[in-house]
Amino acid sequence: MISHPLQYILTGLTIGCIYALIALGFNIIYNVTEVINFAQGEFAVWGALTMVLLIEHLKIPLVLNFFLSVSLVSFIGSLIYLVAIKPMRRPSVLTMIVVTIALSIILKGGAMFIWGKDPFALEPFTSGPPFRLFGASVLLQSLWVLGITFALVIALSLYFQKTIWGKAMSACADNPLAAGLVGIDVNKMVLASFALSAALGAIGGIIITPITLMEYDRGAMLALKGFGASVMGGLGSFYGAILAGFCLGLLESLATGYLSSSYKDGIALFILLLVLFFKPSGLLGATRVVTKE
Amino acid sequence: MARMNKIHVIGFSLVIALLPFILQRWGATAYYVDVLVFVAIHSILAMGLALLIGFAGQISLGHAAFYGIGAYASGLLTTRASCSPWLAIVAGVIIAGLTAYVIGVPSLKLHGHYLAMATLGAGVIVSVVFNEAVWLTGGPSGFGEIPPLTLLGIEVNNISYYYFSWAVAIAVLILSLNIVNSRVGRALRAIRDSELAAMSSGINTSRFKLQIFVLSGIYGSIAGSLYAHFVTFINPPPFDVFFSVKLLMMVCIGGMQSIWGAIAGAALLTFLPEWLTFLQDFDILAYGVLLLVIIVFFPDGLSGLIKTFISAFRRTAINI
Amino acid sequence: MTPLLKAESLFKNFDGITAISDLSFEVQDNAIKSLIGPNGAGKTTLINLISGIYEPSMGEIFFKGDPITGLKPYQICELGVARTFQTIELFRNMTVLENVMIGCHSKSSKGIVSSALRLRGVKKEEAVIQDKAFECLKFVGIEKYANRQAGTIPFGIQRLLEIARALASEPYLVLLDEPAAGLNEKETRKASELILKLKESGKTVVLIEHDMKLVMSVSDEILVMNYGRKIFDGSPQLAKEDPKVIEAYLGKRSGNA
Repeated sequence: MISHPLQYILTGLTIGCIYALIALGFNIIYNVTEVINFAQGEFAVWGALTMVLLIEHLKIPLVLNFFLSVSLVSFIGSLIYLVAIKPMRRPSVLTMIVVTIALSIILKGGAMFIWGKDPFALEPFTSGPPFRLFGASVLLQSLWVLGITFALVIALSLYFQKTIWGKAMSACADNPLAAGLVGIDVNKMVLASFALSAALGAIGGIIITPITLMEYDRGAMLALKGFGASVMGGLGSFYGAILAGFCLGLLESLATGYLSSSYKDGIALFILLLVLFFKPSGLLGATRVVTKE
Repeated sequence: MARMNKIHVIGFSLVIALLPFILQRWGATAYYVDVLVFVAIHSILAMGLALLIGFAGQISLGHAAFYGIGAYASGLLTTRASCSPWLAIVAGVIIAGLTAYVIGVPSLKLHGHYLAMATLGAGVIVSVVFNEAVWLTGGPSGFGEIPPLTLLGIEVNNISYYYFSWAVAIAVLILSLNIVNSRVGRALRAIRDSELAAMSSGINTSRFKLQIFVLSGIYGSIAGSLYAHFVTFINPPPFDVFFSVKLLMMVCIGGMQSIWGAIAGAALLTFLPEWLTFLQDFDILAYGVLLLVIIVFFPDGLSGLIKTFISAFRRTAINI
Repeated sequence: MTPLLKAESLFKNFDGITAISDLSFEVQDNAIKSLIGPNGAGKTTLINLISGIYEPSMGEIFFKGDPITGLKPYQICELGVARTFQTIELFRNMTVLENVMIGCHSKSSKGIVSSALRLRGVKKEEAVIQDKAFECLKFVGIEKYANRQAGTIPFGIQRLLEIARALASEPYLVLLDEPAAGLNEKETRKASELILKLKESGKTVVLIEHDMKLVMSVSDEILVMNYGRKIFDGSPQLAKEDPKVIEAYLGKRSGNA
């Protein structure tokens, strides 16, 4: 039946969007600070769950709820930087790993405290039945997911290439010392990168929840897979993250459909391991990772 | 330094030996002895991780996997294959060792975040297998009725399990201290301080890192087997990612560069849930905050604190 | 006579940048050969190639007549090549003595099992290692720092410690990467004496240095590099007068000297 492969492909692309957005979040922070933020997945969880909370308590239009939720999580991201990351003086890689792990635990615990352990749903942005495309069934929300992700990608690339703030961020990523010397406030840029990454994660979480639901402990798995996409695309590479996010989503979906659904998470992680073991610089990347030094 | 350690080990063993009697005097229930068995089991795990992280300077976020492999090996072989528990322990060690080798060879070529993620991913995969391979592991519901260990015809349980598990833990302690205070330990510290200089000084860094990784995996397996015969029931949750993080916490809290610190960290984090029962499920918040505070303010952990106390004490004593 | 070290047509590329180009040279046994050239000439890269940190993109390296191209650093150390680092790479959290004891690693053997079980011979070997390490500290003249933490000793002593550590592996060939960098005049003279002492004890030295006084006073031969190529290889006297060498350091001159 022709619908099956297309169905898996469409599902894979949809899921790939959230992996791509989380991977982008990883890259933005990594580029500016060389820190891998293990708490990245929690931003997605908090974004979605915050939206659930706001919708329940505030009777305002969806779009406003959306912006409020994203802003709140973005604020949390900035807070994390100011409270836990900025005060560290020349921390080692291990220290930073432990710090961001601790943060992800705190965020997860906080989510459990506020929302409990049950999964939550969001209404799709537009209601309506799924429509048929060559025999496959496409959810309207999938279109939203793909559309919003696409719009974000364009907006971000314009931001980094055309706006002064975006270019400043890229400069900091390239060479913080030089950036500081030409008058860029590196601390502000790092703060902005955390805020931006958190926002991206939150958006990813919100748009996917009408399809997959969201619960308090999904963060770790999302972070792992998002990181997998980030590494696959070459850590720090903008287009690499997006491409790899879609690839990962596709591979996971196809493997789930044709191999086994219970090992779904294992499959994505297996791919992560393969990439790390055989081409840690990424399928597109040129970064040196496995050096003798 | 070796003689000081001998005295410390003997002193510590005496305390452990007498502890049940002391506790009984204080009216503590047998429950505390059970918790102490877990402290022994966790200590073995923590010491292995301390060797890997603190001394060799590597990272592993998936160590619960080895714990699980030992537990499931012991559990499955004794229940399904009517294997002798002692042989099952050996089997677990071999499987864990091989797994560590297979994961270690490609992973240890990586550094920093990549190594952390690789070990995390591997740990989660093993956890997923425990949950999904229902035909083998019984899936999420697990399985029970694991036979007890028998030593010279006598069943080892309750108070004798306390002495047995601590005997194993102290043996592991002695082995680990020997390694740390040897040429091997020195090589590990060199790898940690400057892998570049270490390899240029004739140290086969890849081999050492792999050996310590495998050793820590073997420690984990032994701890897992001890778990299986103590709890006599196994299901996936005790061997998940969060436990790997708890292990990391034990090492961080105890002080990464200290074998004794690993035991202290294990003790603290094993008793902590007992003290935090009022928090119920929200104890993970407490863990997160504790980990953050320790790593930011006390990066050398408890052992670092104690060392600072001792040197400050010595200094004031000299001045007096 | 077979030279102790021989390089044949070495090339080293890094992602498109050619760091070393068609470099061939020899080092005779018990000689002191200095490697000089402007910054970025490829000198440290060459040392890294010899000691195994990098693998040549093309070409071969021979030590005592046998090929060592592509061997790992620890293997090359075992064969008898030791080195120091331009940016000091000490084991900061260990004592000075322990740093040198690491140098003895390749000449000792007790592994993880014998160490864990403290089998026979472990204690004896440790004592031997400790004695040897102390001897190396004495050779270099810093034995009074033996129990200090390596990260806390003065910079000049750190440089000497690196040399002591290199000596502990009983090398035939010692590669010194800017051993006098950052040293004052008195310390530089001490370094100079030490290098000559190395030669007296039968060792062969390849030395990267910028301090010309030091280079002229100890070298038997000088190899001058620029932009990854060899531009001169011969006696120190001739090096001073070679037009290509002068050009490399001072730029092209128009007219009289």
